[in-house]
Amino acid sequence: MLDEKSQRYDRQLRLWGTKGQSSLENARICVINANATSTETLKNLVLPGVGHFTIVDNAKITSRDLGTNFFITSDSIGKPRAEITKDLLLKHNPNVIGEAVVEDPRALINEKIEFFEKFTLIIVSKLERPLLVKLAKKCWDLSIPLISIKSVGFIGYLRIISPEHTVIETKPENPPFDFRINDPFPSLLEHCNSIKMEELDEEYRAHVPYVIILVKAIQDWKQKHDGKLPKTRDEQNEFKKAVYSFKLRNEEYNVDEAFANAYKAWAEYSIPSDTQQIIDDEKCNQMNEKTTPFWVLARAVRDFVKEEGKGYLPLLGTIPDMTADTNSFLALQKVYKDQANREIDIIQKKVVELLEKIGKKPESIEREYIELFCKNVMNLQMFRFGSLAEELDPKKSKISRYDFEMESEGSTATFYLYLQSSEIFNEKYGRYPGENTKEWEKDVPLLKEITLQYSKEFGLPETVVRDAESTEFCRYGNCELHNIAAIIGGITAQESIKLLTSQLPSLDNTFIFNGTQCSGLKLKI
Amino acid sequence: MEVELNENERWEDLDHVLLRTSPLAGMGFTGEIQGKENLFNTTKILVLGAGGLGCEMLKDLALSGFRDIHVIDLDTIDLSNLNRQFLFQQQDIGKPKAEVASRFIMERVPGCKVTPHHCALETFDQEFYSQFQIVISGLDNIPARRWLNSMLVNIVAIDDDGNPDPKTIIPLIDGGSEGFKGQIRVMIPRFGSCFECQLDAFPPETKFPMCTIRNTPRNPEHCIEYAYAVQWPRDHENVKADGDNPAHIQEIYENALERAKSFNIEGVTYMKTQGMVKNIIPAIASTNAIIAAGCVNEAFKLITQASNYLNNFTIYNGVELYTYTFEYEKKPDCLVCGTSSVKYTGSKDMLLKDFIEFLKSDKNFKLVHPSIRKFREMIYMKNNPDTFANLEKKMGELFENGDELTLTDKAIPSVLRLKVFFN
Repeated sequence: MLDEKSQRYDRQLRLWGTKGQSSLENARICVINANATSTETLKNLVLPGVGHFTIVDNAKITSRDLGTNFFITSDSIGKPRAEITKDLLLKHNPNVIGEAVVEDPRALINEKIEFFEKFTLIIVSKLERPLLVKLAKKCWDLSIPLISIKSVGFIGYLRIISPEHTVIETKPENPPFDFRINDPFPSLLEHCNSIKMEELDEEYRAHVPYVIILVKAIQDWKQKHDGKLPKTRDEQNEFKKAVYSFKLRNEEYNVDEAFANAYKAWAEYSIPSDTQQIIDDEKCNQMNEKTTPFWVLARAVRDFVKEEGKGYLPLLGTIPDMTADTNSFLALQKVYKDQANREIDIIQKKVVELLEKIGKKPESIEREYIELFCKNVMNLQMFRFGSLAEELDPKKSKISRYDFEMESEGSTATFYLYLQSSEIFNEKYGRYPGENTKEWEKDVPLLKEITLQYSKEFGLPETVVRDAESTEFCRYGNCELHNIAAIIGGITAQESIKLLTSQLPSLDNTFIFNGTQCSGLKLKI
Repeated sequence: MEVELNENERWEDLDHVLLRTSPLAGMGFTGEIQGKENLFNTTKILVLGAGGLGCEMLKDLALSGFRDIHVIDLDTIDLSNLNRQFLFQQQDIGKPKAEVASRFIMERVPGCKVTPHHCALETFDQEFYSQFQIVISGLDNIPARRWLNSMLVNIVAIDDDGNPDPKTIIPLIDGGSEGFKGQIRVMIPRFGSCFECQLDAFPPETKFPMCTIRNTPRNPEHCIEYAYAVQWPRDHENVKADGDNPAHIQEIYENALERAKSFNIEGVTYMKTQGMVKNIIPAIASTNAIIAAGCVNEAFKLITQASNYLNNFTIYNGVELYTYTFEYEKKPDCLVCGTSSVKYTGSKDMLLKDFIEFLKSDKNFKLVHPSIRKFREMIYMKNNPDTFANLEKKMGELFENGDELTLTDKAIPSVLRLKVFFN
């Protein structure tokens, strides 16, 4: 039997494990403005058991809140929105602590910005741009990730702002393999040589793991071809034939597997580009007392590749299931695991040396962390999301014409422009396009003009700004539809969980959901 | 001072898209008040399932202006539901999901009426399902969705020219989720592809080869499968292993652990055992929120035409964060909505019992216990011993080339017609 908490969280522990769960429980989240998009986000973080949340909002509840926000009761109109939403959210998980700060977020940002220093993640919904820019700058300097979210009519928006996020456990759907078939390490070669196919009885022969067959076949090939691997299509076919010649009886499915996986024998080893980029990064050269464990490991691995590894990363040490009898499989598994452990020992030595150099205790990075890093060394990822200041500067923005010119998704990308230009609209007219006005259609040409100007500044063609989308955006009048709020709330919670647990790849850096098409678009801006 | 709720102000956000129009609005949308009134006062919608997706759907519908909602769910609340089925709390454990969820929504959203049905879908007939304008499904299993789909396809009246009567069409919106991923689909019975046309969208179950399980286990899963599929039935002849019975899980776990030890295999855990025996699919609040709201957004667009609805399939992947939208094609020979009759070509010498096995296992049929008739003649029926002798007969003895068989099966509430040909 499992304890109460394991049962309550069972369906999520199967995704992020107890380590991910405790990262979530140690988080302190701050949410600015308790509109529907925010409370939906929070609900999806309270349910899985985020440790602590703070809502900053000085708004009083209106009838309109009741039409979009689920965490408001009809008898609470006129009361502080932060308090009511906080209380109702907390009812959904007794393990979570919540706090309401009934203060104007504008005043906090302008006068008490240090208030935000204590959080691990800040989520902001619909904050006017000058204040957002100011807060984003503060968070950037403190390396606190900030997610800016919005729902406007059928359009949803999400942007992650943070200097850097590194992920070890990216959990790729097709995990990389690392067999070293054409360049076996000594103990693997020895193991393969100890198995004499011709001496095995029928039963055993049919259960020799295919990796061993391939190691034998490629050794043989290299001997006959001056140490070269099969390169051309013809050579590869010839090699495959040689592999197939191992097959003596119909039941030898292991040979079929070897045949199907023959490409693994001639594939040249290469370090995955994301990992290469990480070990080549400047940060590996700048070890100091502030260096995070991730970068200490990256540096240790870089040195390993240059020295002991002779061009190879540390061995993964795990093998997938394959046709084999129990003992043959476990024996092969052990060969890989033992070699991996030897290489982890080397890495650990390097880590200790590096830590000493920067004046840290050797035990400040645990063996477990080193093992995790090495097990995932082929699928590490690093994200540098880019600052808001950069995005808003036409000279530095990474905005790409290409995203806006693709016919099929063009209009979704265009809504990014409207979201940006509506901020300029607000600064100019004191309201968002189509907001608080019966004559909303009069805003269409005004918005279109501003959007055209914005596109021009960022080097986008005029054709991306059209009447249809301009009218559609003014139609929304900055309204919040619950469904779009719930979708953005869901995606924001997913991205928050990824950031807090350091698992799975993050969004880099903008996502637009288009509810008119039930589709979304990722932009790197 | 308490301020009163103002009904006009309350729906101001919805009014923006209901009372204003644009070139991107749906075909025929005018932005007049009738559209809003239709949504608020005359639309009746059915939600299937009050679980992870269902709870979210009910909330989303109530805040999208739907005010007459029915919900069917046969389950009761379990502790492991509480990490995402947010309408339920500790004190609700053991109570019917449909009832607790309905009460929560009605208390929170004044003016919204939710009618719970704590029972199976199959309890209801065509007349019941015909009262709804839309059906929206958050079910987690394929058989129930197949049954329901077939029901909705059959409700569509076809006129003498073979054209479906639009007034009898009830769109089916279906959501599914697993981990960080999910899908949203909109099915317009008889017009677009139906759930049956799309059965291929589900990946086949992973099965371990029996000889590996029995003789050469290599990982913890193989050991658990042995304890579950081999040891349990051997030790308990007449008791099926029940994933909800902790004593059963414990026994399977201990057996698996022992087997693993004897083979020097590491990694058998209680959690892994439970996961395999119960076929647990990881589930989180956020994914359900996204998929459910995507479905309800489509329901809202279908009813109000405030924007065009999805045609007809969106895949959401929250791991890499992308969506993929495409049109799933209608299958001309679909068992449920196909216009050309379904053909089967096989050997004259095949025995009827093997043909029935084929109907159960083939991915295009996946029937449960088919009964077979030829015109009026009963060929085989599970509960009719008079027909059992036919099981050992050859297809060629029972049927002529081109004979049309009628199949009935509990997987789908309609009758299937199948033409048999011999090669």
